[in-house]
Order: sequence, then C-alpha cells, then structure tokens
Amino acid sequence: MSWAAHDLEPYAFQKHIGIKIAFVPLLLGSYAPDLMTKWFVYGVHIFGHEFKASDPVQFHRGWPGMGFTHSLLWGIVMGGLIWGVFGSKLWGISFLIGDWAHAITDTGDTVGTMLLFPWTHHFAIGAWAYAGQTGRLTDAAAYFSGLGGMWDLVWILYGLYSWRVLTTAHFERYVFAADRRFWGGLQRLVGTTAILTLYRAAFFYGSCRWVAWSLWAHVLHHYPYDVSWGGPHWVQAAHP
Amino acid sequence: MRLQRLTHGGALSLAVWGTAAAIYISIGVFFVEFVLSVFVCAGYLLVVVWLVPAAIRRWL
Repeated sequence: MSWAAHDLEPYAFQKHIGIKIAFVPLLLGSYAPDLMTKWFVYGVHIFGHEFKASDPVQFHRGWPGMGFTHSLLWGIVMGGLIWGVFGSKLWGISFLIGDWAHAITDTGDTVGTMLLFPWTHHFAIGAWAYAGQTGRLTDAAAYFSGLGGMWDLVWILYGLYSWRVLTTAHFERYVFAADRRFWGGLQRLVGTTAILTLYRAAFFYGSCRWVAWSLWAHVLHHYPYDVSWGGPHWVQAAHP
Repeated sequence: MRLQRLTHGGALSLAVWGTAAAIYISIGVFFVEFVLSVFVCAGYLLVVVWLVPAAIRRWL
C-alpha cells in the first residue's frame, strides 16, 4: 500500500517515458486500482451501518477478492476499454502506464500484488508493512513511520528537483500539447489558471499530505519511526 | 546548473501556492479527514489559488 507515490509518479513518467502521454488518464490509471477498493478496506459508516470487508487484506489484494485490480492484465483490460469507448489510443495507453505503475509500486509492501493474475502468486518485495487491516489511522501511522513513507519522500524530493514539470511553460509545451482535446476544452470552460491548478493538484496533494500525516503521526501522536526492512515492527504486518 | 532570476509574477505565484500549502497542512494535521481525498484537495486549490486571488484582483 502506498500513499503519496501514486500522486507523484505520473509527473515523473510524463517527463521521462519518451513517448507521447496524456496526463489525465495517466493519473487516473495511477489511482484506479484503489478507487473501487480502498473505502471498503477501511470501512465506511452510512446511516449508522458500517460497510467493511470481513477480511480487508484478502479483499484488497487477494483472490477471491478484488486483488486482480492490482494486476498487469487489469491495466490491459481497462486501457483497452478506454481505447474502445473513447476512441483514443493515447488515453488507453496512458491509463495502462499509470495503472501498471500502481500495481508495481504496491509490490513494495509485505502483501504485494498478483501482478501476473490469473496466476495468484503475490509478488512482494516486503520493504514496508501492509497494515490496511488495522484501519485508516493506524495504517497511516505505520506507513509514515517506515520505508513506505521514505519511498514517498524519494518521489517528493525528485519532484522538487524536477520543479520545472510544474511550470506553465512545461505544462503548455508537453502536457497541454499532448492532449489538446481535453485541456483545450477545459480551458474554454474555466480558463488557463484553473487548468494549471488542476494539473498541479495531485503533486500538491501528495507532497502536502505526506507532510501533514508525518506531523500527525510523529509530532501529535509520537508513533516511533522504524525504517528497518518490513517495518515498522510495532504494527502487525499482513502477509498473503 | 543555470539559476534563473525569479520574476515578480513568479514570486507572487510561489507565495500563493506556499500559503495554500501551509494552510492545507495545518488543517490536515488536526483534521486528517481533510487530507484523505484528492478531489477535496483539487476543490480547495481551485478556491484558494484561483477563485480567491481572482476575486481580490477584481476588488482592488
């Protein structure tokens, strides 16, 4: 499970991947595997009823469960659907790259992902503890105390080093130019400042929430850092 | 590495985004639900970075 990496990776991929990529489907792909599942992993309260997976780890990453959303095949299927429905090869491939980035990034934790689904083997590097089953707050505290939070920090620092990806000039030259139909249409509706703001939003979100959650975990609540492999070990890490 | 001089417009933009970040982080530390959604964040940014400055410019 990663928190800010999925917000920040698309900016680096857009810059470095070397082929024409549309930013919006790239970002949507980067979010897609968790969009349908994360709320049910942590649980939600609606009209006094709690809706939550009885086995959050199995539901999120396993089979039977929704673990197939973190596979390479899922990216191909969804990217193909987007290509077919919207008639845009660019959007389909951009979504696929974002989706694969998410599935591969999540192999970093102790549960890992079924990358080659329908083969149900979990590819797990095990660098940081998967603690989604403990609830959102403990999961956040654990994530921002271990190597997962450090992995996010790498992306933030890399983003700050490559700050030009956030400039108006970069946006106009690469991001807008790669997807004129989407950004041009939006620009006619809301103007240049608003579309620039929306383009920068995911970077702002990833970076700022990393700082906010780190302050919450370590200044407000004093959770201990443990950047050892597979940590933090003060939380019960889940395994496949 | 070649450093570029920050223009007046660039400095103003940086100040607006820096202020937006400081406010967002401050709220997020005490009300963590606020920093759970990228859609809430995008809405917040549209208000703080786009609508409010536009309203101030019109008012001045």
